[in-house]
Amino acid sequence: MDISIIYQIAGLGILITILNIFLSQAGRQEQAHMLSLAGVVIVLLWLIRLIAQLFQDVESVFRWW
Amino acid sequence: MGEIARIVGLGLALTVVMLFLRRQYPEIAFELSMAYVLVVFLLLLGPLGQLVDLFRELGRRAELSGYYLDVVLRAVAVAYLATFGAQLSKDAGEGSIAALIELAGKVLILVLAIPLFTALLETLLRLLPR
Repeated sequence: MDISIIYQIAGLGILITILNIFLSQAGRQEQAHMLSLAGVVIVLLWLIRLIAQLFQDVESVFRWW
Repeated sequence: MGEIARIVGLGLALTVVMLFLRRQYPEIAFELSMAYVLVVFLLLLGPLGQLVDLFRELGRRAELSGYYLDVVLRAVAVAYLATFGAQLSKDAGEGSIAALIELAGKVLILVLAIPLFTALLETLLRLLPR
């Protein structure tokens, strides 16, 4: 199990936060909102794979069925 | 021993990053903590699998019926998943969803134990004089 996904998410979060601050300062609130929403969706897509893996691993470790 | 150093170090680094992210961008902060919990749960599954194997070996040596051990292990698995979901929901401030997840875990564990209860009841009834 690699932990690089956590660094990826943290980096993406910081990057989007900084871009968000720039966009808000430039008065583009709409795009700032869209950007933060896009970040959430991207990270959610990464996490869904991880959640599926967790469920499968729990099943195999405890020999569920 | 590398595992615990990795988990603790990662947790401390994340704590520092979260201080910043929670104020500026709370959605990503939640997803970050979710990713951390997922990774730690996945890391812990390996050692947990070894423990499960040990328990199976012990049960085999004690000539315990495999069915009883299976019930126990399934209860542990349900508790594992329910803890994961409930803790995350509680972190995000959704106390009611967390409570429902915990309730679902308890109910499902009880349902898993129903055959054991009936077996116990039958044994007790056999002990009673007619």
